[in-house]
Amino acid sequence: MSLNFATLKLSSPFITASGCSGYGWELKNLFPWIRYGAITTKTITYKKRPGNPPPRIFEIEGGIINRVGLENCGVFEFIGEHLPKLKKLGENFIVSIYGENLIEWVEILKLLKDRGVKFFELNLSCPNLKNRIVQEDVGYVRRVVRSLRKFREVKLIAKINAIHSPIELTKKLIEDGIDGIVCSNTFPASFIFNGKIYDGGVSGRVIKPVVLKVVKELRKKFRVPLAACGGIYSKEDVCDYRKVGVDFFVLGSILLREPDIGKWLK
Amino acid sequence: MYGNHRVFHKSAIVCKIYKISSEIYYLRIKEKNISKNVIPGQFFHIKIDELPLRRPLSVFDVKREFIDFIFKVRGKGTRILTSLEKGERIDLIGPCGNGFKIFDSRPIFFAGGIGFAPLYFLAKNYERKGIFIYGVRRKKEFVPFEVQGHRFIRVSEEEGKKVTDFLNLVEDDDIIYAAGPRDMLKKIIGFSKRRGVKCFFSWEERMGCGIGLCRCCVIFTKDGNKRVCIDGPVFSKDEVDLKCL
Repeated sequence: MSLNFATLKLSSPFITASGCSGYGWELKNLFPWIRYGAITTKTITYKKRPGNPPPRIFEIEGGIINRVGLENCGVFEFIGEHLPKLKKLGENFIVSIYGENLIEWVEILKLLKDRGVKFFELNLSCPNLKNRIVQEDVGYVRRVVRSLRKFREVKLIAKINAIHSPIELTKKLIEDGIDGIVCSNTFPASFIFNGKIYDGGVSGRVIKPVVLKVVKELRKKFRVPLAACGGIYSKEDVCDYRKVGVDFFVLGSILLREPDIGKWLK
Repeated sequence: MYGNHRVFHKSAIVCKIYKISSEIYYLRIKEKNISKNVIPGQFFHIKIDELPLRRPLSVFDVKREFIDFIFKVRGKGTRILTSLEKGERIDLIGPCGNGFKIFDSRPIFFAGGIGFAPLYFLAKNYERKGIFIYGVRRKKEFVPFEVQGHRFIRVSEEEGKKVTDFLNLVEDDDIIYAAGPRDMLKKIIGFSKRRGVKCFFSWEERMGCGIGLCRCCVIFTKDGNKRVCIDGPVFSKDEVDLKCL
């Protein structure tokens, strides 16, 4: 059976979440038998980013909080080092991108598009940035999406979170020509470690009920291709999301524990 | 293949598990396809059904088809591991990490607390003989193992002695191997930098995937961030700036 997510043909409805499968090629090298529908890369920025100093991960009841802070090699090294390896594995990959400003968003997309990348996930919801979560500024998000939409040959998938007006945002994103939605990114959260307070993003089972509710609403209101991301740890979780009308499943935190889970979640 | 070695995801049988000293447990598993691929300094990432994250356990020894670990109960995850029973299966990913390199110099091992595990395994397989210094905070934390062939020194802070009190035994041509608490490692790294002695140490950091995908367990080096799980856990003193550790 061939599935179709924003025209990306998938052999399985499971997609790896950005940040949990490196630059995309490593997972396949480790576990060659893995069959994910598609792999999403780490978020790629224009310049190289060092990310946050450790600790970067903290376990809580039913989830994890991470504060990696978008560490990545930057678009130029990605193109030189990682993209060729990723392409060798096939066409089913999505490159997650984030720009510091409008010019960067466009530049990153152009550079990658010219090297054959067709599917882009726009990271509009990283909680580990200093000033803001991008999706909170709907006007800015619309300018970004409209600028990127000029490139009709690529597919744009928005990674949003389920807690900052996702319904209103999705409505606008659809008006501006988005091709798909992944909901949700991690939620902003804090933890205390060795007496110090750290901010990060929480993911895992603990966020599933909230995401389930939001994707249910999104599905009711819009026909846009939609993938659920939030606390998928078992077949039951998949059934729950199917029940509210979602057909694509993005695996995040679970990959840190079971990187080859795609082999049993059919 | 990824990095320099093959990583397996297997289910292995627990052969033995028992307490060997205050809060320290010995665990033996059987998995013959993996055991021959393990080198000292590497670890396995162990799944704990109830928890979202795996726990990294450093290899203590390998004998034929058996892989041995010793681990300290530090929190919820390791506490759950202590309730494993003989015959049960555990899910593991590994061997993970780079492991120690062996050289032709006289080795001086500095093992603090549970840092004993990787260094015991290394010392046992080290052809050149040297000195093994093993320290704990309280005497009841000593594990009942001795390193054969090397001069073996055992100290406890309770008796007023620390591992780092023995840095004066190091000569210029020696090679230092260290594993243990951060304060101890920093002291040893600082010493080896001042004296220009070769030094390799095993670093611990809060870890996610254990196989280089999530970039949660980074250490800041002169070449930027490196991942403890796959670029390490063993690093050379030359790679790091003491001020950034």
